[in-house]
Amino acid sequence: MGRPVIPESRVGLVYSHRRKLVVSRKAICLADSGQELTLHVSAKESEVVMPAESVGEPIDLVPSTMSPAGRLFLALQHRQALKADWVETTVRSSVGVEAARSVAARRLLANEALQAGWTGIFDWIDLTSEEKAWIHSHQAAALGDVEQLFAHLGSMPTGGYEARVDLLLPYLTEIAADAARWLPMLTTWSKSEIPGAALVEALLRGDRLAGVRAGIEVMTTAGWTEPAERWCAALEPLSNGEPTLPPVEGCPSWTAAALRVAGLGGASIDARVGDVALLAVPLLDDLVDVGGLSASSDLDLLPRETSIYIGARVKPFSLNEEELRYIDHSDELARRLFVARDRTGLQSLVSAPSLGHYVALLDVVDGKAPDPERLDPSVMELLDVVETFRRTALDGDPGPVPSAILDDPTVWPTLSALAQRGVIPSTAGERERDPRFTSWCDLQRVIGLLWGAEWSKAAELGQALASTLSEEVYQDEALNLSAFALRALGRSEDALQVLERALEGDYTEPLLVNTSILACEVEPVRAMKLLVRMVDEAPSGDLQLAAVKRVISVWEDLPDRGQIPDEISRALAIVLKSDVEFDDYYQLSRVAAFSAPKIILDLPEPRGDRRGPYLTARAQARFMHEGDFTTAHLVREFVAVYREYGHTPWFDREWDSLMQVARDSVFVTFGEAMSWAVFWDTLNADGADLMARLDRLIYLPQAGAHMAAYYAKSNKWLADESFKKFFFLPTEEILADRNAVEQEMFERITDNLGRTLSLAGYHYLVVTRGVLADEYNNWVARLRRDAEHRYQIQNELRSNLAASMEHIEHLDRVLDRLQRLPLSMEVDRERVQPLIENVADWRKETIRLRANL
Amino acid sequence: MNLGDRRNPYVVLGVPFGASRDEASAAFARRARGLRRTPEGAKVLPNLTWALNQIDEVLKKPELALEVYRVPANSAAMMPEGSGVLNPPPVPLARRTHVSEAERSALLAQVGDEAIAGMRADIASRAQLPPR
Repeated sequence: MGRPVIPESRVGLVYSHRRKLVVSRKAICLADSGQELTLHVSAKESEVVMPAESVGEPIDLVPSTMSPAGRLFLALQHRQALKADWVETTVRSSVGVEAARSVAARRLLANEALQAGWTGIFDWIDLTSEEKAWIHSHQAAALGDVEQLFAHLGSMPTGGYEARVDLLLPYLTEIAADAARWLPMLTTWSKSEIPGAALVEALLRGDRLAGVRAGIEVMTTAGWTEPAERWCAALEPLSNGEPTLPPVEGCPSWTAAALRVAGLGGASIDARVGDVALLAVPLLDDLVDVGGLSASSDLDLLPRETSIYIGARVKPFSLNEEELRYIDHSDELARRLFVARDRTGLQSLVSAPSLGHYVALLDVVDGKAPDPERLDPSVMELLDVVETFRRTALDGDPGPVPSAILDDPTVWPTLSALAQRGVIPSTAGERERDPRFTSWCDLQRVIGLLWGAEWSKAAELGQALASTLSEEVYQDEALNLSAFALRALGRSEDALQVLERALEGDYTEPLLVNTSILACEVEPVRAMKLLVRMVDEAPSGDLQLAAVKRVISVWEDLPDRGQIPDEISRALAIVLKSDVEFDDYYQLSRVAAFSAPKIILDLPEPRGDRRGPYLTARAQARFMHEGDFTTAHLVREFVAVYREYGHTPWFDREWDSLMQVARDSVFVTFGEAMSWAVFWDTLNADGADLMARLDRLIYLPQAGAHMAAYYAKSNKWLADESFKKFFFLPTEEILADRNAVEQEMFERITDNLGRTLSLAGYHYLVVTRGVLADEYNNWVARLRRDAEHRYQIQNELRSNLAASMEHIEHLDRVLDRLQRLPLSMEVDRERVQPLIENVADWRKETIRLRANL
Repeated sequence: MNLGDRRNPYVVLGVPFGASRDEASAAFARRARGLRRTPEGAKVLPNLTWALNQIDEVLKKPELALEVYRVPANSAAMMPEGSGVLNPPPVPLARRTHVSEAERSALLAQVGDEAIAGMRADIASRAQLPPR
């Protein structure tokens, strides 16, 4: 059934009709003779007939692709919006006229009505029920409404409408999901020989291969040659149970099956592991058996258990111990333990079939004769050859080394004892046969000489060998061994020169270590550079840490070490920023705090237990590095750490060090340790619980004396309250509890108090008396020339003398403590008595001056 | 280990640097054999004992003992690389599953399902509605 053709007609189009003195109106074309158009405007106006060429272009309202009847009806829907005055019945009548022209016109209108949802018109149109069912079915198919499609197709007659099956093809997947409902209809159509019905029926039924064949026929009939050919090509292998890759995507099982077939046929499936991941394990095993899956495959794409199992089959080296135990691959576990020469581990393996063999093999490694009862026969043959050669070598007539031995380097170490003794021949002939074996033998000889402490021979042979060996790895080793021998001979400088040759070109980390050891003995600065290089090149954090600790130890041993070199600072910073253990962090941060404070200041504050040592190190670093970070700040930082962490071993150690410095620092000329006096003062105020009693009794007075002397330099004096905290309180304490300390310590404390208090008192007297005397004299001088203010001046003089008396009373309190302290005669004579006299003199003078006023 | 002590415990025992406790013990036994009853034993035995103790107790991680000279520096000098009797290659696990016929049949059934579904979808993607 072809699509109805839309006749060329302007019926249904809408024009703007302009009349004199009246605004343009919307006119709809009701008839088109070709030359003339009949236009309808309104009920009041009669229809206008105009020449076609004079109506102009229609307005853009109804698509010209619609049928005339459809246009008329659509235009009618827009009548109100256009504000057109058309008579509805007139236009509808024209719809009827147009529809009545032909079945094609009615079909067109029916399609348009269905698409537009004009159900009333659709039902009115004069078409057969079958026709309408077909149109409905087509519309349902166009809209993808499979339910409606089923309903309307079900109401179609069993004959005719031969394209009906084509309505189903786009929805085969949905229809197949509901095949039970569709099959009866399709069976009926098949019987009625509706084209394509039998094929679609086959596509829906359970016979997969028959369905695919039917599908190929559908494709061929439709002219889809290329897909039909692809499916055709896939069908036969599929039928034979050996599928090739599917012709469409979205078939994972088919893909996996095809890859399996390809793998069994010799292809590598390593690059397609992801595509075979869904295969059952026995099917994967088939692939492993033929090499379709190998060690190159990425088995992580398989489920974990399968990955471990297949991994154990194709690349057992990739499994870790836990995985080997999980899969119970005890033979591989045993092998690894044997390779590691771990006899204890081997003997703890319970269920390894090869256990006896490997234990016997370990015995061979340890020098015992091979045991044919326990060893695998394939291994015995070679071991027999080795054993025979060993015996003949011991007998003094080894002959040429058997090829079997040369071909298996793993057995050479069983001859190492002989090689170390120089028993195995190292002739030019042997060297030509297998230079690698003879190089190895030669090095064994040097090692043997070293182990026998034959240093001179080892050094001579090693250096001679180095020039003859062709492989750098053997050359370097010969030099390394020679260097060791030279060092043992006390020739560390020569050893270092030899070893530095080994560092040329490629070198290993052990060579670097050995060179640093020699350099430590000869040129420590060079050793430090090598160790810093090790920090940069170390493959592990542990080795970095070891290298840093070693380089610091070398630096600390230097007699005139000076500032820590920048490269060591840098290496230290690297390690401190990494995740080192607490003890190492503490040790290294201490070094940094004093030797490279900037490192600590640039470090981020760590979390966890390392934070405490970091804070104390930072406080020390700031004290070393920042001019405005005083002893008071230092004390407060430490006290804060103590408040947070309490008495930990590391805190106590840092605190004890700091306290010792603070103690030592005050035993200088009084007045020259003001900053440490501040330390003791701050500690007394903010962290008194961290001061030991003896520190309080000795160093607070020291601090007070330093402050008094310091202030005196600028004509200031220590405040009365300060006398109390620095001197009076300690004095009262020791006097009240003299039996709590040993006699010697008591004397030391009281002596210290005597010296410091008397000094502070002396400075107090000198400064206050001097200041007040100057003031008094100034007032006196003024009195002489300023009689007018005589009264006020005299008051000032009285105030001055009153202030003097206050100071004298304070000095009395000082003298009171001094006189109560059991001081030595020397201290009393040299310090206390002069102070008493001075105070008495001042008192006398003050009293006299008062009396004169 | 005292940095001032230049003795090398591995060389004293005659084992490669980094040798295990077992190897060190075996070497000690070999070297000490018969020494106790000899005059030189009095000089040599303390050294051997010291060396064994160093390896046993002190040098837990010899690779980090940067004050100990490596003899040899390259283990390939003592143990040539490569597979062989005394360095056997990894052992592949033997097959543990049965013959796969049942799994193969199940797979082919799934393949059939995918084939017919694929065919339907392929047709559906290409099919066009007939004219009205």
